[in-house]
Amino acid sequence: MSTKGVAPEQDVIVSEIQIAAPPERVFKALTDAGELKQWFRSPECPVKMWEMDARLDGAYRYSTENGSIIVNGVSEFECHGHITEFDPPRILAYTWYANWHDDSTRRTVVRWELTAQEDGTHVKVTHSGLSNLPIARKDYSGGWPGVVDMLKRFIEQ
Amino acid sequence: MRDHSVTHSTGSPGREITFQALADPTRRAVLDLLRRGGQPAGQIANAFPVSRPAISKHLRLLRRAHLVREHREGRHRVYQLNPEPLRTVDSWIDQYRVFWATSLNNLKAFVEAEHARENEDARRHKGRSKNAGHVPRNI
Repeated sequence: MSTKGVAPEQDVIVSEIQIAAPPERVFKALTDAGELKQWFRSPECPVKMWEMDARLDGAYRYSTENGSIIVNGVSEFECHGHITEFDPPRILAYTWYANWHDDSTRRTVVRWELTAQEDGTHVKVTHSGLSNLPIARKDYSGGWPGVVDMLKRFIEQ
Repeated sequence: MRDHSVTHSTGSPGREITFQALADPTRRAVLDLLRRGGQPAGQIANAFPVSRPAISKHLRLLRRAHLVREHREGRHRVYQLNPEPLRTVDSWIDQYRVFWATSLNNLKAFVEAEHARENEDARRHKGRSKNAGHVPRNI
């Protein structure tokens, strides 16, 4: 096996979950700023702003207040991009430029795939373009080096 | 060959002592070095541009945190990595990572609660007489 180049698993993070509600309901939560504000957040980082122009090529922006988490030296998180795929209630994809990435100008893509099931929706989120963002990737997926870096900053601050 | 462990002093090291041990860049570098295998104290000291007493102090702190084990081989004190205490650090870190897994859990909790509430509202609305008027829906 070649050891050169980037292994696919280093570029992409995939996460999946089952939700007991129809895809339409899930899609609304993914695209309605008022709803995003309520779930797309963590207790450590209060949401400052969530905006989304839910249509193809529409822009979105997400930012937090100063939180207690530090990634790549950043504790006020900001992320923005444009919608690249919009096919309600099945597919939503957008570019994801984040200020806590190793390189905040590098294009990454977040893609949501909703599949209707008898008892709800299967949700799959794929975050790609992370191959050159080792610290961010570790933070998204878990893993030691990025976490150590975070721990280091946390303790040494 | 004598081999008596002098690693485990009394008392259980808490998380604090582990974090404290990891907070120093030289001590982390020592751990990185020991990932390649056990080494005598002298050899470890040679790998760093700091004084021998300074390295001894770092090794003492790492030992106290149980992050390294020490044993004697002849005239040498040999240090070995003991990653076990990193588990507690790892579990502490867990809450800060898996960004997408956390997001999905939040999404699930939110959507399922909203969906259940909307269904409940719809049922209640249906249960009333035609002239009962509009049932206001909160966000």
